[in-house]
Amino acid sequence: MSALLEVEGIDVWYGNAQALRGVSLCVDTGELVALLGPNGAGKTTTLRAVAGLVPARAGRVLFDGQVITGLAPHELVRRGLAFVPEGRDLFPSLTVEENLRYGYWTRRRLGRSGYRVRLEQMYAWFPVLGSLRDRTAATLSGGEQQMLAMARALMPSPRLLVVDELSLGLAPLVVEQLFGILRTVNDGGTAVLVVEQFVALALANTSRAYLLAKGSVQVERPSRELLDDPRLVASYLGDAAAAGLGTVLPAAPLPPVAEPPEPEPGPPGPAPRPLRRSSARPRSTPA
Amino acid sequence: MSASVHLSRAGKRLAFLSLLAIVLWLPYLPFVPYSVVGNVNVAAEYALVAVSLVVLVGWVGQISLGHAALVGVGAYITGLAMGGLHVGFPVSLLWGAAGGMVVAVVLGAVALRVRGLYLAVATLIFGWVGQEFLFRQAWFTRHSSVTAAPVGKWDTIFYWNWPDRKVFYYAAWATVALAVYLMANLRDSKTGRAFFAVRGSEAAAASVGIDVVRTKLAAFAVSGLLAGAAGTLILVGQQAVTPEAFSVDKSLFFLAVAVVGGLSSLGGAVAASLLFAFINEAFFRVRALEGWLTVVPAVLLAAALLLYRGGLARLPDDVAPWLRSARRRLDPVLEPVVVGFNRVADGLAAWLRAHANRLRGRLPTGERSAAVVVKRAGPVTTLLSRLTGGLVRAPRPVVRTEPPLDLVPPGVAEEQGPGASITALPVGRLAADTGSVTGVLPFDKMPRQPVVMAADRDERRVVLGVESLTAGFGGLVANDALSLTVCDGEVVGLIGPNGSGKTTLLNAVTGFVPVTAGRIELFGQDVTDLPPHHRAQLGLGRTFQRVRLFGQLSLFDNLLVATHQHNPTGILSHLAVTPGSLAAEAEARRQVQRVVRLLDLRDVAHTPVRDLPLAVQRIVELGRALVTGAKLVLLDEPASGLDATETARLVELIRYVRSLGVAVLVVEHDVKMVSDVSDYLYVLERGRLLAEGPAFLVAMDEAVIAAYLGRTAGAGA
Amino acid sequence: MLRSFLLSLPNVGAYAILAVGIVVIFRASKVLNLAHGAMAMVPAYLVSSLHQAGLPIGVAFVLGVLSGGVLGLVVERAFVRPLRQVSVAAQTVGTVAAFGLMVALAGKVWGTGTRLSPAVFPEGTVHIGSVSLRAGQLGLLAVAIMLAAGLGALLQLTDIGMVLRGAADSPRAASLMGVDPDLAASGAWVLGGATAAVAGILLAAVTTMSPLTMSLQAIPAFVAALIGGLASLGGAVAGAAVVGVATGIVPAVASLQRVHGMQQLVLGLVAVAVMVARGERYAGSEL
Repeated sequence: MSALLEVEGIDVWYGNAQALRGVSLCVDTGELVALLGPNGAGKTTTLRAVAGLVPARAGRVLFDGQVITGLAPHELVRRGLAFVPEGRDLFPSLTVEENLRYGYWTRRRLGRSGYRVRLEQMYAWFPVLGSLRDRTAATLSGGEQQMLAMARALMPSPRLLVVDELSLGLAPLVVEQLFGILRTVNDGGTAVLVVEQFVALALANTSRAYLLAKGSVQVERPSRELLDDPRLVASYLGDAAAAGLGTVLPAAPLPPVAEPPEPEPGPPGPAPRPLRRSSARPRSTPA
Repeated sequence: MSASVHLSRAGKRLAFLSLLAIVLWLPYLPFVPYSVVGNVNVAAEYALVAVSLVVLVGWVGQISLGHAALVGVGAYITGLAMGGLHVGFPVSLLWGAAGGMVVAVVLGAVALRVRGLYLAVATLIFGWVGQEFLFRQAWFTRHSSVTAAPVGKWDTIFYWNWPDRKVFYYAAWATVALAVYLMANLRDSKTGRAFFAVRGSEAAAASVGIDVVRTKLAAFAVSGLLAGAAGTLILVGQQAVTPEAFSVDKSLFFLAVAVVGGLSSLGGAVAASLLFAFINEAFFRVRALEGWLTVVPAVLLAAALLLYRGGLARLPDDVAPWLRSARRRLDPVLEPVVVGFNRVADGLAAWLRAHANRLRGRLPTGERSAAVVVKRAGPVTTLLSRLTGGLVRAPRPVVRTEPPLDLVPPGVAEEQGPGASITALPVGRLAADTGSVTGVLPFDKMPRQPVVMAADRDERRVVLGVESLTAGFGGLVANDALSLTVCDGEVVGLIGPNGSGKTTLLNAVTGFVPVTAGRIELFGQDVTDLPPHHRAQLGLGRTFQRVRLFGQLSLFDNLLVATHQHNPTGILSHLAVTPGSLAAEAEARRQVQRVVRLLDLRDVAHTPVRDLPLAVQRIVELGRALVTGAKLVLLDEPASGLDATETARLVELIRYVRSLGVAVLVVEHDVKMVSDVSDYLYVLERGRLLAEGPAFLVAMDEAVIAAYLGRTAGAGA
Repeated sequence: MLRSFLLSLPNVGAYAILAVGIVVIFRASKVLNLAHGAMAMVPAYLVSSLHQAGLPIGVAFVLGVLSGGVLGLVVERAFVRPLRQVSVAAQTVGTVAAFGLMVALAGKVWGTGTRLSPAVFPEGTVHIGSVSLRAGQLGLLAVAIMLAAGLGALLQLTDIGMVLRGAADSPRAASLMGVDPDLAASGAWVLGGATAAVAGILLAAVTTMSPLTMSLQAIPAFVAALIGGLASLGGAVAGAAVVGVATGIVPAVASLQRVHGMQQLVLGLVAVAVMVARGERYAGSEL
């Protein structure tokens, strides 16, 4: 059973900086998978490599058993891979309906009736868009834009939907809504790979998750289990934070500070709230 | 099979002198027809315009498609001066140059507001208006034909009859030689580096204290000056001009000459002008090619742009291997000739030296000290290298001691740039000094000053004070009433999720983003309205999220740019290479040497910076800020793109920088790294301050974790 | 005043057509096609030669327009696209090289003397008040209006137009929707070249010009496009109207009539004023 999407050990370089070191992941037909990790870990780069927007210097990407590394981005939609980039990338001067129509471009030979049906389906999944049909895309709010971007990507009935930074700049409530729609889409048979900053929401709504850091995959686990994994907090906020939360890991030695004295060793319970004003703790230096 | 025979040192000098003689006597050589001299004069005119384009377009990156209009202005103003005010020939060059300079500065004022291709269109329109309007005004073009009066006493060698092409040859090429010499001086000076910096990255240039506006205007002024002088040459050389000579397609022609020459190379510009003059001559003589002359410049421009980028300046490097192999094959034939030539030259040189010794008496022996002698390229080679804009390369200096010592550090010679010298040092001192010049010292072993910090943060001197700052762009409020401080000698970290406003804050503090409300204080001074380069001059340095170095320059030169604000010399002293400017240059190089040694970059000091790995580039950017003498350095995501080892080294480096007494503000995503290195931490979320406090405490705070991960992460048992 | 305004109308038509072509190309490639005037001039001379060789004017006209399209494609492929990696400014210089080449070759083939092309419209004069205009001049204006309207309709109402507009908005988004952005850009250049050809052929029918002066006719069109903000077809036409008014005013003011090149000076000042006033748009912030 080969997966729908297989990424095998890709290396990606930006100029002379290596962004990805041997990243591998896979998404099966009908799965909902999350890709997590702190900033600069390479999540967006991974998705861009899948979408063909950046070249992979090593490794390969397979879609439905076929190698797609090196293909131009515009050839992927036809095969059933849709990508919603970070920042949405709508057509700002086109209306909502025109944006959706654009999404149907690769399927236009199927005729007007097919288009109408699909359009109505989008308006059913994203009711807000229905009331905004003739508005120019640039005038929509952040949440509406994200919905339009997703609807537009779904117009050609892709088999895999890849979404980058779903919640960028959006309020948590809107993000929950979007995840709900993603689940509905997923129920319909479309596989989804989503990069998301709101870790909690991402893990609550997906079945499996990858944790990326410094350009390579650190952890791969079912979402429910990853929630309790201390490596999750550690990769985002460092060992101190993980230790402070009183998890199973032994308290990692705190990083050496330039001047003595050392602060007190890791507390057994939850850490005290940091003070808002400057610390009353003395920092003396050897004369 | 012997190796190739080379010309001896004396042989090279003799060869050079012979060539010089040919150049100087060209118009009067028997086989040179009058028309060729005319074309060579025209080549001089082209060369001067091409050089002016090299300075403006090649070095500073300001595209000008209307340069012929500047030349025309120079020509017609010269006409007015010579015809109306009866100014004589060589002096009228000053009038043409002045006219060109003034108009160019006006054009430059427009260039301050528009960039890139819009500037190109603006200059095109300028050229068009010149052609259609200015050069049709009777009052301006009143004296469009002049005959330059001869100068000097008749029948002496100092009689210059300008209308004679053979005589004019000297005036034209002397002007070009002077122009190239001055521009070469400029290129290697502080002003030249400022030009390259502005072209490379205006933001980075401003961040090291360069006034971008002044630099651009200076470039326009210099370019206009040269173009105007070229106009004078055209008027006097051809004795009459019409507006068609300065039309838009003439501008394109001049641009073609500069591009074919390689756009950044002075020697290339001169070579390209000679090429075009040669083509003129060739097409004139060959009947079949008649009428195709107008096509050639366009074809060559397209070729230089699309097929052979780098133009003629690139040619020597590309052709060199072929030449070498051809020479090897021709060696048996060449050898006796070269050997014979060498013998003659060496004989001459020996005779001259003996003669000179006899005149001077014996050489002084000096004290018994270890003189470190630096054998630099001779003055002739240096001059030649300057005149040809680097096409002839001056050989690298060679170190020799008398008596020989093996304590001499191998890299010393390379560190001394042109104009510097090492005087005799007593032996003992050299041995003691050696210790500080050697290799790789880990940062914790390097000498540092003790950092004295007041116990309570509140009591320390505030180096950066941000009060209630509100800033944003495009309707988005990126910073909402933010307040933070950085105190003397500490490292402050600034973290926050995507979109929290970190970079905007940095840009507001450094002056690249306007502030809607609030106050910024640097070292106690209100800088809220100051432009970036002023803030840099107060002691603020920064690095950029995406590295902005000056790509084509070497690492050393990149750091040298940063000495700009401490170098008091001005453009005139650079043109004239005054002792003061040389001294300032030497001091600047010493300062950069110090930083290069501190940062352990000596191995790569002369590599072009774009060939270096990212980690080194980031260190160079930090070094650039240090060279400016900054007392507060802002780092914008310095760990971005670095792996774990490189990040650790960066942390070491930041700690070392703090030990030098420099305060640091680090903006980062990598919370681990930032809490490692910071004394104090600020957390932003959606433009507002979420938390602040000592680093390790803040990183553990629940609200901070929630901001990064979402509400319920980590709460599971 | 009215008289001089009416007399300048035909030129306004030509400027409008040229400006529209410039804007179409600019929106698609972000390059200001400085060869636009030459792309207008060559088809005009071609039509003249074809007609002299015996072809009926209608056939020659069509061939001329086609040649304009081909020229557009050639300039884009040979002079602009290879320089994409360098910078937009370098691409603009590339169009300058194309300009020089076309003017030089035209001078070689057809001579640098001035000539008048065959009339596309029937001879005859129309009287408006005290002003008499040749039918050809009015025809130019009429064609300009129809062309602008037609292009506008094409872009707004058809699918192809939507694809072009979207690709101009965001080439990346277009490629994610399955549209090859390079193909779309080439299409825009073909369109630009064809419209330039129309302007050139019609203009040559009513005025005498040499290869160089005719190619430089595009400069007022650039000013028109700049005034219109380089953003929309309507803006380009409006800009052309402003240019027309500005150049029309000059002959009307008696004292300025005798000054050579006053119109060009006025235009130059207007252009500079527009660019300086809209500083930020044309400055291109580095950060």
